[in-house]
This record gives sequence, structure tokens and C-alpha cells, in this order.
Amino acid sequence: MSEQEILELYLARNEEAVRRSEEAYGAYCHTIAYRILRDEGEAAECVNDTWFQAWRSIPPAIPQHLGAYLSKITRNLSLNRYRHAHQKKREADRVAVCIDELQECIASDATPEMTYEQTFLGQIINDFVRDLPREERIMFVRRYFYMDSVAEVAAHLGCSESKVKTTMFRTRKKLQEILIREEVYA
Amino acid sequence: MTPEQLFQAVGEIDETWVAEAADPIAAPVIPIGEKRRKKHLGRIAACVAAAAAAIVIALPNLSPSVAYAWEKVPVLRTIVKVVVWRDYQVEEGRYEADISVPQVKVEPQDQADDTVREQLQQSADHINATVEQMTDQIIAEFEETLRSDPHMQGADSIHVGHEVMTDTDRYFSLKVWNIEVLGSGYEQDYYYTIDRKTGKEVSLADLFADDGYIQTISDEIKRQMRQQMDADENKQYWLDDPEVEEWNFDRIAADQSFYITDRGTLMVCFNEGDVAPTYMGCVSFEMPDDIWTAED
Repeated sequence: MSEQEILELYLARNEEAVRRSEEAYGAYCHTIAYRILRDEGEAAECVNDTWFQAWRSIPPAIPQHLGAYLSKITRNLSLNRYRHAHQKKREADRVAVCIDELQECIASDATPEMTYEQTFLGQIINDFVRDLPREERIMFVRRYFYMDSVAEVAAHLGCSESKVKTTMFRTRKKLQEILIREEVYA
Repeated sequence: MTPEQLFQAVGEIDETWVAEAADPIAAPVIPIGEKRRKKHLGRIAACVAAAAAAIVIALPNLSPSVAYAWEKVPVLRTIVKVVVWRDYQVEEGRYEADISVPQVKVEPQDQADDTVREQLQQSADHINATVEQMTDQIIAEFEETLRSDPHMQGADSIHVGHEVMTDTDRYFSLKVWNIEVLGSGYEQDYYYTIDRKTGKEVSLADLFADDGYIQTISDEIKRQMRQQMDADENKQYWLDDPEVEEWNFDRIAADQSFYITDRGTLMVCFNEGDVAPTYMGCVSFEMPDDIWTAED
């Protein structure tokens, strides 16, 4: 069943939408959840929650790309669960590695008290991603949305790991510049 | 703002970009919990990293006298390769080093002129020794850092790689880059150019007949700096800034880094922080043809 057909099931409030979503995107969303949580059971729960949240939000939401929409839900649910489980403990996992790398984009004198509207920050990141060259954008999204390892990004794009590392280093520099320009950090 | 907020914001990007990068997501799921530890010190990979290049000679456009002398050098062909002869990789805790050490190799060809081929070999040997010394030092410092932190409380990430910038009939330029990701990160680039006609490694001064190039290039760079800053408020160079007088760009070094593009254009290069705030990264300036251009 195509993405559009599944979406139409949601819009028609047909519960078959959930089963079809699981068939089409279950493994996909599970991979995202597992990368964050590293626990099969918790990942499965997040995926189940994804269908529930999708069912509650479509409509009124009408996603352009259902798979991407579901993966965003899974990612957010998994991150929430991750935060809850790791409030005091950070492990050397994919989330921690990605967050460490993004630390480079934050001013050294920034403090946790410097909070900003998350939606404003999201818009900045979205504009930043939109303006990146296509290959660089895919690298960035694979690395920081899907949390691919450098090797996986390189394999996905058919390029060397060194190229990914160098490109990502420069991308983070660009993001740092944007954040300075937008005065997101002091 | 915290990096966690930034990471969360990435999750808010438009579905278009999520979908664009979606297929195929890596599968099957592989447990990733274990801390990896691998160390391959001194492994000689000897894998070809850049294209073999047939070296064909052409003429410089420097002073008439130099150009005249070079015109008499016969055309020759020699093969130059860049291979990775040492691949140093370490991952311990939050320390990471990925250092790929390139080596320029000259492969003899029957039709090549012996004198030029010998000179080419000397140039390659000098570049290789210079790169090896540099990377040895980086590795030694990294290992010293590891030794001084037995409980792995700190973090560091060092990457060294290379790229063939020019591979034309006239010139061969190799760039070796070193990125240390610590805090905001720091990048340094090193360029090596060989004149395939003479077999010699070329310095910036070699491209010009006299020292006048220092002022000429410096003036051109200042012009471009001003032009860029006027056009884009986000660009900043240290130029005529009373607050950082000691940092203001005055003139290039006699042996300033450079490379020559495949189109025969001279690019003058500066490392991060040399002439601009570090957020600008490594910067380079394209010299117009009336200052220098490679001739066919």
C-alpha cells in the first residue's frame, strides 16, 4: 500500500491505517527508536506510541511525507523516554555522541539559563538545513536526525568517512555562524 | 541554549528533508551499546588514495627570462600517485584520532627525462618527510594526552586527511588537512605543489620573478577582503580594525600557502584564525589572471 493510500486511511478515520503503518514503517521507526534507547522493549513501546500519536494527530495534520512524519514522532517520543531514563547518566551512545558534536555550535560561555523558544530554534535549524547543498543536507540529517554513525553516512552516500567527517565539521561551523548571527547564543 | 535543545530542534526540521535522507535507513538494527576500542598503530594501508596522474609539462608565465629557459625543457611524462602509507586510528572513551598519512610516490616511466624524474623524486621525498614529521608530532601529542588522562575524563578528536587539489598537465597540488575538534574546533591546511616540468616543489616565490609579488598579492587580498565584507555583513576579516591592530592583515608571508587550481588559477590560502575570526574557517583568495595564471 502506498504512502498516500495509508494517509487516506488516516484521513478517513479507518483503523486499518495503524496496521498498514506498522507494516510499512514499523521496522523503520523501530530502528530510529532503538538507536536512541538501545532497548528492544522500550523501542517497541515507542513505536506503538507512534501509531497512537499519529492516529490522534492526523487529521487535522496532513503530512506531506507520512514516513518522515512518523519518524519524527518516533524520534521525539524516544528522546523524551531517553531523557527520562538518563537524567543523571550519560552514556557513550549515539545520542550522546551527536549531542557532543553539536556542543561545538554552542558558545563556550553559554549557560543552561540561556533558554530560547524551541520553536524559534527549530525554525532556524530548518532554514539552515534547507539552504545546505543537497549532499551536505543529507549528511547532516542522517547524522543528527537519524543518528547514523559516520561510517553509515559514508555508506549511504557512497563516499569516504573522511569526507563525511570533514563535511560535518564544516557544517557545524556554518551552523555556529548562523546561531551567532541569529543571536541564539551570546 | 544547550546542545540537547539543539539536538531536539533537529527533530523539528521539515519532513521534506527527513524524507529526502530517509532511504535506505540502515538495517538491520545492530546493538551499539558497547564502547568500541580499536587501535591500529602504524598500519601500512598502502591503498591508492588519489588518481594516478600523467605529468605533462607546460610553461610558466613568470619573467620572460625564466619562461624562456623553461621552454627548452623537453616534454616528459611521469606518473605520480598519492597513497596512504599509514592509517592511525584510535577510539578510547571520548578520545578519537583518525589520521591518514599520505605519501607521494613517483613511478618511473621510460619516456621521462632522467634529470626531471630524479628531481621529482627528491620533491616527493621532501614532501613525504615533511608530512611524516608533522603527523608524527600530532600522534605523539595525542598519545601524550591519552597517557595524561588514564581515567578518560576528557575528550579530543583529531582528524588528518588529504586531497589532491590539482592534477593537471602542469602542476600537482596536494592538500593535507588537520582538524582538531576540541571546543569549537580548529583546522589547519598544508599545501604542497610540484611543478611537473622541472620536477621541483614550488614555493610561492618560485612563481614570480621578484619580491614584488608580496605587495601585489597583499593588495589584492585586502581589496577582496573589503569587497566581501561590504557585500556580506557576516563576513569579517581582520583588516584596518583599530580594536585588533596586532591582528590586522598587513601582507602575506614570502612563503604563504597556496595551490593552483585545475583551471590554472593561483589560490592564496590562510589557516583558521590567521586573517579572520575562527568562525570563518580556513580562507583562500583567488588571484586574478593579471597577477598570475598558468600558461598552457
